[in-house]
Amino acid sequence: MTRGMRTSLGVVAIGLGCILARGADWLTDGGNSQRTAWQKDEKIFSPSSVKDTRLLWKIKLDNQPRQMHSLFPPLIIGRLNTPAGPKQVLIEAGVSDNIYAIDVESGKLLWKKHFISTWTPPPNGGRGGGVLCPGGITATPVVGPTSTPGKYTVYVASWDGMLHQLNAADGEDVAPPSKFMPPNGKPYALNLWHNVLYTHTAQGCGGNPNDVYAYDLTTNKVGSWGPAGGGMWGRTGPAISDNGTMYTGTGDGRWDPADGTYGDGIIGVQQNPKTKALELVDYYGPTNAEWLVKRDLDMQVTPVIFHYQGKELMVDAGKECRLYLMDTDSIGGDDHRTPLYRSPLLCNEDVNFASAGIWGSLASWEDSKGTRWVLTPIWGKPHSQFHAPVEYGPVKYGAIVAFKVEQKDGKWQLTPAWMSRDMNRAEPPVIANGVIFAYGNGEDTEQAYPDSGLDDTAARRIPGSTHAVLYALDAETGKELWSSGDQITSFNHWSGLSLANGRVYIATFDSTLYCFGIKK
Amino acid sequence: MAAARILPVLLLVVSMAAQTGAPQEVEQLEHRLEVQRHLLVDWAGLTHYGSEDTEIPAPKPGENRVVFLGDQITERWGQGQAKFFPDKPYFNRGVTDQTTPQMLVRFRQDVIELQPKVVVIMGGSNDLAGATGPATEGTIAENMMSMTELAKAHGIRVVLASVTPVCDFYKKQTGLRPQGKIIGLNGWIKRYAADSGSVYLNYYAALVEGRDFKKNLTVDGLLPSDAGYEAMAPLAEQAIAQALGRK
Repeated sequence: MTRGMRTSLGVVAIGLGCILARGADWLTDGGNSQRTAWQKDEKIFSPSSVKDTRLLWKIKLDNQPRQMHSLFPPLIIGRLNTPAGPKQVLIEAGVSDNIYAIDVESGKLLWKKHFISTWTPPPNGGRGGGVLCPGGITATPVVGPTSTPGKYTVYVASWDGMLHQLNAADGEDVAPPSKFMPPNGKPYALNLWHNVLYTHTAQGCGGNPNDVYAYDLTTNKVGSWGPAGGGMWGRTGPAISDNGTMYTGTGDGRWDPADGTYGDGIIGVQQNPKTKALELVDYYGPTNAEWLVKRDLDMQVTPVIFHYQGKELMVDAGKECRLYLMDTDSIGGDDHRTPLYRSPLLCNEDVNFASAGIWGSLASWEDSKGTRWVLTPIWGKPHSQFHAPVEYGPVKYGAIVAFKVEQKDGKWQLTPAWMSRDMNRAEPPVIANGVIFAYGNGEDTEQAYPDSGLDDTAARRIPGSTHAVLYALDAETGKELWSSGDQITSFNHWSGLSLANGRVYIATFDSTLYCFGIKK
Repeated sequence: MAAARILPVLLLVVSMAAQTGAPQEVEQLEHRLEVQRHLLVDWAGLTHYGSEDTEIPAPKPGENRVVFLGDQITERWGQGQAKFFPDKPYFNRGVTDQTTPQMLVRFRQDVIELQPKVVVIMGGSNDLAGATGPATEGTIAENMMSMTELAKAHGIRVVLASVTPVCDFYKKQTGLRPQGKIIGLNGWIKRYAADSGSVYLNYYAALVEGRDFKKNLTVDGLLPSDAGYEAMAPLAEQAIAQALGRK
């Protein structure tokens, strides 16, 4: 090697080191504990550069889909010290109790961990199988930094209800697996807050109650609390406020706080610092909760929490297709039924419980002028009475709708700003440096059929699904700037996007992980 | 079911029009297709007021709550200059284009659940027009009787309103709703109201001239104008007072 070559390599290494040193992370589903899905540290994607996005790599993993589930949103560690030096590493969870680590630069597998489930389904125990209870890993893991720079731990809840703590560098256990929750409980994306892991469960899978769980990593104590109503199935798991209150929407069930049941509402649960038990600290029930339960219109969306004009605000939604703006000081006011603002219906005029409404999670960001934005996906056509000032043609299957958080005459409101182009089942977006990435998942989302009623099976829905399409939109106008076209060949169900360092990731039902980005 | 029969035909027509027709024609057909599709998934219109119904608190002690159940003639009341009984605990539960079997299906949700003292039922006009399939005075009567019996079973007093007249001054209306049939149906409603202990509310007499809807009281020969609604309001109040006065 010549001195010139050595110098060049040195410069490259220093450059790479600099990139890695300042590399952004995406360590949890939704990007952060507040679930804003806003990548604040993005420098490469921009409204002007995003047109150059292309498929950088894809990798087919050996994960076996279960029901409609396959891969979950990836997690990104911007700079991880590995045996081969510092790398940007992606952690991917597969439903069949698999965890994969992938080198972001090369798209090659670094390591894989498969959990051997210690649990076997009882022959007649509870709600087993089917689309709603796929078994396996159902919660996106979470990555936490350690006290050693460049060293990270991956926290995973496996099918048997055990908590695994893995060294992100090699997949080895850093602590023995320990009991987190009952097996087959269908937890949702883990949230790590001040050394406590939070999640919630739904669908009564395995005959388990639908509960909120908190695992205290300092004491290894587990706390739980249940709303005694519907399950909690916000896809991106709970959102956590400044004071450590964990918020989530609740699914079908009666709203009757006097009786201790909190179905079709929103609950705030907090860990007792002394006992580590979970306690209900706030709750909100829509005034039409009776209608919601009658028509199976769950409040099943992960909330988003953000600061604006000196307040900590939260927005949540449900299948009915409304948005609720709340103050985390008291999410439903004195009567627990009065949020700061309740939007009109955005969609779901047919009151369809399966294939319309708002599903998954929301997103929020603040632009350079200090305007606070809230984004929601919608499924199906917009409501005939709902219009945004900027629209991009008829929406039949779904869209992203953007709102500005505003005060008018002293009252808070969400003001419609734009509605995106049509997307086949629009999914929760992510935001980066003035660009919104969103996608239509291409999934057949029907759950009721004229010929077979509620015989909702994967065998029927998988052939009816098409393929996902990823879109980049201008965050301020909603204008389409780029799309993946036909490059993604499969659909996905109950997954999502992740974004860091000029790359956006999407995983599909056929266990393929795609990395789209801008190659410098 | 009419929607089930019409839907495949409309789908075919829309598909053919999409290839050969003018954009406006395609848009109109798509709209019709959408209306029929919606009818198929929510035939009774339960989604129209369903959510709102659950947000209405129970009546206060002494409140004389009234529900107006009907079709477009009821639903449009209050949308123009003529207000819908301001400051009264009266609820408008009209759904445009509905027939009496549809009203019967939503009777529990939109009437009984609101716990009114009185229900004012006005239906039959769209039945005569065959809006949800062929209908006769006999089928309309059965639905009216069922609604009346349901109301009584829940202690709700019943006002049965006449079908309003039609005319051809603005466009042809008497073909779909023959004037003789309206008179015949109103005769049955009046008799049944007397037989069932209900109050007969005769809008027809106040709105008609000869057999025609008075021109100045209608906007199109079918729907009342503001002046038409203003003529109807005191009659409704009178009938409600009469119903409330009955034991």
